[in-house]
Amino acid sequence: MTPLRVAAAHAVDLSSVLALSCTWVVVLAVNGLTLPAINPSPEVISRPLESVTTIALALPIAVAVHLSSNRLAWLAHTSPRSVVLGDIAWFAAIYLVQWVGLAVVAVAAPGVPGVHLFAVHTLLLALALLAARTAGSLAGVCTPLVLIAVLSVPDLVPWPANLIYNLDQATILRFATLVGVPALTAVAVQFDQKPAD
Amino acid sequence: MQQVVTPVLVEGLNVRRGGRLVIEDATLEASTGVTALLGPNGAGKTSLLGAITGQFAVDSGQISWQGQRVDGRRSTAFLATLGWLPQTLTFPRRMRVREVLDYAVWLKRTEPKARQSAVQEALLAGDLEDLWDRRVGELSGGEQRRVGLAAATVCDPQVVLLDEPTVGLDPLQREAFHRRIRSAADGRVIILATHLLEDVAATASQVTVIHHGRVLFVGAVNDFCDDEDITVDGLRGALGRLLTGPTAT
Amino acid sequence: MRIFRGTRKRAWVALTAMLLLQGASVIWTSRAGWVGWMPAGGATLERTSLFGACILSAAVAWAAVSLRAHNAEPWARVGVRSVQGLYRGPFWWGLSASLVTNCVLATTVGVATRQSLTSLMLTRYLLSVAAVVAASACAAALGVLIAKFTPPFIAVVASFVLPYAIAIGLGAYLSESPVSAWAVPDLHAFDYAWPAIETPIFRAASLGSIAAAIVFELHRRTTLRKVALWAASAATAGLFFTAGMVQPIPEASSVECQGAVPVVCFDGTQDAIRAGYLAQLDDGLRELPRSTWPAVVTATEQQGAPEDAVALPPVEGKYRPSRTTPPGAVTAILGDVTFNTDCASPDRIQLSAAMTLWWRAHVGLPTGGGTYAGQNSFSGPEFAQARASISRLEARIAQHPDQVIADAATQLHDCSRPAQPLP
Repeated sequence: MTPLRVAAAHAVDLSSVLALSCTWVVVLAVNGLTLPAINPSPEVISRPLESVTTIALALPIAVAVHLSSNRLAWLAHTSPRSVVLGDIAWFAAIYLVQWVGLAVVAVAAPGVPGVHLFAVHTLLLALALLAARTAGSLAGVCTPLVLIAVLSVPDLVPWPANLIYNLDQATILRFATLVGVPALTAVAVQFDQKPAD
Repeated sequence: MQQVVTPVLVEGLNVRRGGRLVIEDATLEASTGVTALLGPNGAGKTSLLGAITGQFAVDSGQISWQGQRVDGRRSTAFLATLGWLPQTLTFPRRMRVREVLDYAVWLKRTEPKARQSAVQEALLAGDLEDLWDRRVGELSGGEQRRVGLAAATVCDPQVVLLDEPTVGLDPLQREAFHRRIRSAADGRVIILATHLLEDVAATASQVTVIHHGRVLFVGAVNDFCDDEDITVDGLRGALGRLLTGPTAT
Repeated sequence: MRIFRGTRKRAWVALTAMLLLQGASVIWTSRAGWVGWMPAGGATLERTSLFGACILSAAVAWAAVSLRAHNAEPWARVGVRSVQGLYRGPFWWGLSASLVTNCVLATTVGVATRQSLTSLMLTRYLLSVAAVVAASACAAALGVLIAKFTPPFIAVVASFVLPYAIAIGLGAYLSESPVSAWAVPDLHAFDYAWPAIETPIFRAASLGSIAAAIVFELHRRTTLRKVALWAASAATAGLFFTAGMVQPIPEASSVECQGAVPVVCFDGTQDAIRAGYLAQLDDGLRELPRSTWPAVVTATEQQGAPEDAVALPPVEGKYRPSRTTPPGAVTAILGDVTFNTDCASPDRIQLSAAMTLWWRAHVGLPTGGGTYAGQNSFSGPEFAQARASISRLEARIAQHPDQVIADAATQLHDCSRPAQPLP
């Protein structure tokens, strides 16, 4: 079957599937660990995303970055099949698989705003895939990590600009995701993947 | 019926990488058989092959195959008949040899009914019957090279580009690889980029010498060596004279 | 990922810069909670080690994973250098960057809290620094461990997330247990009380011994490692035993009142802000009629001020009282307090909004909120209505400033008086 062929070429095997599942288990498990308050308003009681879960989202993204590169790219390069379309299809598969994990977290973790979490994770994933394509897998892994870390330091980024934790900016975030993810993906597939580190 | 293969023709090629001109006014004509692309490390061999495969953009000049230009855009007809074995091979470690060949066959848009037989042919041609179910990560370097060559030559490509294919192989493995290249050269255009004179002596009928991105010699190996008996020493002497002679840069 | 000499130096500089940037941003963004008060400064320094440990651990993992990727371990097993020796390089590479950063940050925080310097404060502060250094060594070791045993593609991220999860878990999830004594302290924890002196001593000793054991293991000093582990277990037992013992910080809660009309009261933690606070208070009082001045103002919410003191604590963000007084903040708060009302009638609420806006405009502060972080945004309907009628109020005040202001203040604070229109 073609999807299995393509998946195998991207190093998808039992161990990587297990690794991905484990990362989502970790994301769910750390949901009870609350971060120091990021929302500056002292009256706010509910801080749904201010938990280590948000930081742990970098883990499944790291696995996704690892699985985004074709280990047989040198064969694909001389294929009459379109490399760009193949990459787009593979990235779409990555997003779908990540959404399954997100759905499990959104359902199983109490109080987590599911739609907001989807938007945050998908946008970070798109940025990571673009960074991996342009600057290598380390950049791909570190980009969402740096963004999450910076936005998780209380008072560092003005609250109206904190798209991850500020639920009042959900509309802007969703717009950024709807427009940004296809755009970032379209840019990413234009680049040849970097050699594995 | 043996197909007449028009040479791969490279004319006046200029290629830039990272702002630096790595190929300058290069010309190459490769006909049926093995054409060695000989040059020291950093001469531009990989860049030239990369330009032919479309990996690197061409600044100016042209690359033709069967009279049609193939630079500047992905020609699916050319790619369907092109095989490429790069210098650095990567494999998914847990993928089996037969799965790699199956993937390579699928990439060539082979009809589903013909895929299995194409994989079988590739296993036979690469002498990989004993390794067909082994995971690539468990194979030795030489065995991985054989898998790479088999994958690059699935579906009978008419043009095969080999970039330093014998690096890392021991003498026995290298000899076996030379045999394979010679047998694969029958009815195909093979361009073999190498800095090893043994590869040239063992396989090539034509040679193109490249140095600092410039082509210094194009012609038969006999003419390059000026000797009927093509040996490593003869090639070394000829190369030394060429690189230090009036045409050298 | 390649480690060569030139790359390693550049990477070291980059790591040091990242740690400094991270630490500086934590220190800067929380300065309202600690400037001028050394106990809180020590807690802040420990808070920089929260993300600092993550960055350090991830960087060390990055360096160490490359050794695995290049099959250095099999070579080490047949070489002169041991496998532990192999990982010594990334460990010290990361830890040295962290040591430089910790020195710079500790010096910066120490200088910024020098007003509260006493020998006891300094001892406690140095114990915090020791704990931070020891925690850094543990983080670097964690990075090596993760790099050695996890798949390379996940090592960097895992070594970033794990220290953070551990720190948060210790502080939040296990906050009721003695184990939380290892945790990074909350910034507010050291405002007026701190753990008994034994706790930070045992904490520094516990973390330091664990760090020493790691170092001795990497250098294959078996005997010393065993000694360090014994010391660590003893120190940890002492830490768990003394965890939760709290004592007041000497002089912190003691309220001292100075001056006359108004008398202004500060507590022992507010020495650093006295001058700036009094200057802003004077600026504000000059714009108000004397009859509206409170007799006693207290900048602290600690007990000890006279009962009739008006609470005017400096506020910035979630820090109250804060340890910084941004320009105009005390003047703004003076107006907020003077023109605040507890009366429920709509007229007085409207009057309060109008006078507050007038005050802001009069002293040249923003009328849309935003004079200091965490301040009221003035977005309620009463403020919208007040903005519409502000020019009329200004005209009235311009004609009879003292009388109008005094009358307004009286009406706002005396709910039993019937509401009367302003002259």
